[in-house]
Amino acid sequence: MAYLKFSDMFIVPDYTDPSQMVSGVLDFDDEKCVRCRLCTTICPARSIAMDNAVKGKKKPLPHLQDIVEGVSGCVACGCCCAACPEGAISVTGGFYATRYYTRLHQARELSFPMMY
Amino acid sequence: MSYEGKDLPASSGKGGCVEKAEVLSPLGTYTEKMPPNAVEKVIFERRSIRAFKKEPLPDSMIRRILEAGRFAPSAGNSQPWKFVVVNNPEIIGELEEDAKRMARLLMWFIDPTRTAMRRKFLTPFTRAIIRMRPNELHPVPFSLIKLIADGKAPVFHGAPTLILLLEDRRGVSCPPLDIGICGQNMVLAAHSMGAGTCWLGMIKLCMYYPKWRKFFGVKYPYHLNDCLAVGWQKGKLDGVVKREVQLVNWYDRGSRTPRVERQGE
Repeated sequence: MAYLKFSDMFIVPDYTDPSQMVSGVLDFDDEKCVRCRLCTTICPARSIAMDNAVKGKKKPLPHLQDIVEGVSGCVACGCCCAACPEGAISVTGGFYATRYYTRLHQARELSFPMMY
Repeated sequence: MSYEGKDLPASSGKGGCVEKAEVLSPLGTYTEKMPPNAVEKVIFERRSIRAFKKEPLPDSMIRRILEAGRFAPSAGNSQPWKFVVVNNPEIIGELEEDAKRMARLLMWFIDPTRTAMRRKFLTPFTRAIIRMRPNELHPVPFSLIKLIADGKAPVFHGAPTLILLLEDRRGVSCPPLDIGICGQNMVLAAHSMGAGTCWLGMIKLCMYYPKWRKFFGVKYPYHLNDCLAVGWQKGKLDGVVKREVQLVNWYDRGSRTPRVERQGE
């Protein structure tokens, strides 16, 4: 039994299709985030943006921004989580490409280092 | 200490870091569930650093990092590496500009998203070219090259120093693998001393220029695939993060069929 479907050995996914290129998902904690924008500069994919404040309202939370609709470029590397001085960011979903680049031996779940 | 439930990075000092008088297990021992030892701490808290201070590491510290690379294992002890230290911001600035130019050239040829016409007609060619070079044009480097071409992401991250890891193609077995092992020794040594590093494969963009290959002496039998940016971290960027659970096949004593274990859970 092959690991990849025969057709997948030859076909790369469409990089602009969110169903074939699942980007990472982040959670920004509204209470902990001090809106310092460090995450927007640290992200290697330049996927995090923070809009300017609307007058009278609290500054908005940073968010993942799309390159093309539905695809943010986030690869769930965790650099933002490590760099955030308040620990306000966590990764809630990983990055998965499909077809030729289908992940074979990693699970969908992510975990911290386990001290066995 | 454990890393469980830690959404907090080293920098906050609120957990996930061993700086505030936390106990490290001594080297040379193992007991189940023991806290990390110094080596494990460096491994688990290492992040690729893409924000550096302008001031470079002292020369002696760079030599100390190279020393860790010198003692890396390699097939047949062939040590198929040649180290080149670029400690000159002007040269790195020129490398940056040239890498950007090459990125723009590449994207001009294969980026189908620039115009609607291209999207219609170029896409099948792009997909075929990607399939011919699936590693270099994998979605992640593809997006990065596009960001670089659009001026939205830096190539060398303003690093004050680059360590070029030239690979001797005549080495035993798999020289590129030995370069990785050597470089990672350097990375771990650097992070253990509070410095920051980042593997930069984008140096390959500069290797398309004969002038740079000549400048650094990258000619037969050497290839240059990767380099390390090294410098002082701009802020405390190391810290513990989550990573995908790995599926591992175990062949246990007395069994000829593997069981699948979820590594990390």
